[in-house]
Amino acid sequence: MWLLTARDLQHRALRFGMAIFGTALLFAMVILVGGVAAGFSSSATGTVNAMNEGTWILPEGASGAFTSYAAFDAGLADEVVADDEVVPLLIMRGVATSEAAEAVASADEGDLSSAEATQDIVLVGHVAAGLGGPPVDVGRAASGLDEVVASSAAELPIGSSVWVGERDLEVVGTADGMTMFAGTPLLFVDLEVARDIAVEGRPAATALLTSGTVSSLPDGLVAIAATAVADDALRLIEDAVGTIDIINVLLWIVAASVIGAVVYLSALDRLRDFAVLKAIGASTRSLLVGLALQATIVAVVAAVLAIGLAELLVPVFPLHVAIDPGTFIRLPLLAVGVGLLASLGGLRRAVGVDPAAAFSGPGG
Amino acid sequence: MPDPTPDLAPAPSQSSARDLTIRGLTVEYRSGGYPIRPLDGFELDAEDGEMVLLLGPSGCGKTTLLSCLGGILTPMEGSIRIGDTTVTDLDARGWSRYRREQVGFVFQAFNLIPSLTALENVAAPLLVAGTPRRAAMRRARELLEQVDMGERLRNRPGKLSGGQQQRVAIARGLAHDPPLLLADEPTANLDYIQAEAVIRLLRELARPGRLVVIATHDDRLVPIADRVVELAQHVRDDDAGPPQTVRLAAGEVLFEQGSWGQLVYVIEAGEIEILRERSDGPAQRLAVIGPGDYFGELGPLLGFPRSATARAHTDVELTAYGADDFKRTIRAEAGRVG
Repeated sequence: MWLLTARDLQHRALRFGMAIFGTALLFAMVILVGGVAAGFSSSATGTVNAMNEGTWILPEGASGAFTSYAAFDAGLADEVVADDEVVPLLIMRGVATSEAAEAVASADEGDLSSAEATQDIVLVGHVAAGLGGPPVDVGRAASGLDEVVASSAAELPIGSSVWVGERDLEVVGTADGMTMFAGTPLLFVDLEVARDIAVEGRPAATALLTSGTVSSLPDGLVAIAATAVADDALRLIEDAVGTIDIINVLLWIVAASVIGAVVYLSALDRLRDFAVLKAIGASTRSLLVGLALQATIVAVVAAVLAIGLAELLVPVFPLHVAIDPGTFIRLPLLAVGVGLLASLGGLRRAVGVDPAAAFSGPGG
Repeated sequence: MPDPTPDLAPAPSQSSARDLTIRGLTVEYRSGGYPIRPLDGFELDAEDGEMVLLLGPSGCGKTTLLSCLGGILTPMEGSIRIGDTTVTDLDARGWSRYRREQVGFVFQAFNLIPSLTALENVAAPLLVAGTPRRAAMRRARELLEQVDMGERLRNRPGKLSGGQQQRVAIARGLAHDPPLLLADEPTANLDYIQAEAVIRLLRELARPGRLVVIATHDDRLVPIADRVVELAQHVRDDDAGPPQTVRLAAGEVLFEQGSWGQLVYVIEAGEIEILRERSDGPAQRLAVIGPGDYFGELGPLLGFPRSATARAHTDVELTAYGADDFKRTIRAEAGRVG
């Protein structure tokens, strides 16, 4: 039966090849779309943890540090009893304007006409060299009131200018992976700068951070863990992640349909062969094994090809794609299960073949 | 007739005789809700080593009989015995084993598996039976060389002519050296040169230790067969005699569905009810016909059994014609009208 299966795959190589390629593309999309959803989650968690893995102190009633911007008196930090330093942080969502990359390139070539690029950002004002600041990957940390460290996702080159509110800031460093809300970049400035932009210079904060354990809080403030802050930030993109999950399920269904259709068509094409094989004594079970083997081969080869395709396509995606290494084991296994399930229709046709059909002529 | 080729001789039989005995074989199946009985009490005796020809037109039950002989179709009644094996007593597992060990098939239109080479097609029955691959391929190569296909071992069926495919199909049928070889329309789709080679090969295969049963409508095979079985009942028109008057009382049956007859009837007085037996309930009335109408003409003219039952609806008087007389009468009527 192995011989028959292998020969049939060879005989219908074009059809199976197209099915494998189509299924591989679908599986690659499954990997990438799943990776994008996982990327949202890992970016939010990674960003929060990079700023402070310890305790976040927020006003009562605030849903989270990144989702509600309730400013309060930063002096309350002095009333917090903790076994480590407590520092204020000011977070707000806003818009940053910069020279568009192509405009910068044109200016270098003598064309002085300018163009501006505007993007949504999350502005973070933090105490210099204190909690809440970013891990700088390229350049240096901001040290002055006109400097900013930008998430690399903002695509702002070091040395370029960016305007946030009325402030003209120079990008002195970039930090990888510091995004929120499905790719919105964070800009890190000195706390004073953020206060100027957001609260007209008042000594306010939207959160207090400490890496120690909090033993007492003033009225009106609550302490929450970093994981809760990240989970709350993800709440805003729950619908997007849910949509991605649905798309993922649909992609699996389409992939299963492709495998099912090709195995079913193969079974239909081979009904006479099955009748002949049954007539010469082949058991129904052996025919089923042959067809199931075809479905398994299509699914596994497509899954392996998909893994390669996904690896090639990841750099093309503008969003962070976090592919879980476990996917590379789970996908082929799931694919085999889906392939077998999808081939049930073809298997049923093979089971139902009457060996007497071997006696019928070309038309019958 | 050429001498039998020693290479194709069957292995010495352990059974003293592989004679074929068929008794009271009846097969009925449903088609469009109506019961069809291609074989009704069929009987046959054939001796080991014979070449038996099942002759008849399409639909007369040749392939049905082959299916029963091959352990593929269960008859409604009757028995088939080959040597020591009563095929009709076997269960499903016994049938599979019987097909793997006792029967070789040569199917109509060759029915080779298109994805396999000639060698692999011939080896397929052995592989299915669990023969190690190397041994199966060796045996397949021997058989293909014996049927003059040694040069085309690696060719797929699509690259072979009809005659070459049929020779591969015959080699496949012989793979496990079966004592019974069944061939369905082996000369269909072949030109006369290819057909002659195939007929010669089949003739050589029928010898002590192997019974060859061939279903065909090709009567060129008749002279070389040891036994010819005509499955369609040939009704000679001269048996019908001159036109005669038939009278029936209401409710009397003139002829039954599935029976054979040579007469065509014209109603002179009264009414006839035409009924078709249904497999799942009471007979279905197709028509009630009266004076001047005729019926029962297609069976005698085409060589088919009656496709419906005719019963007197009232007291009725009919004139019964032989097929030739009926045709003459119809032409004369048409001439008068024209």
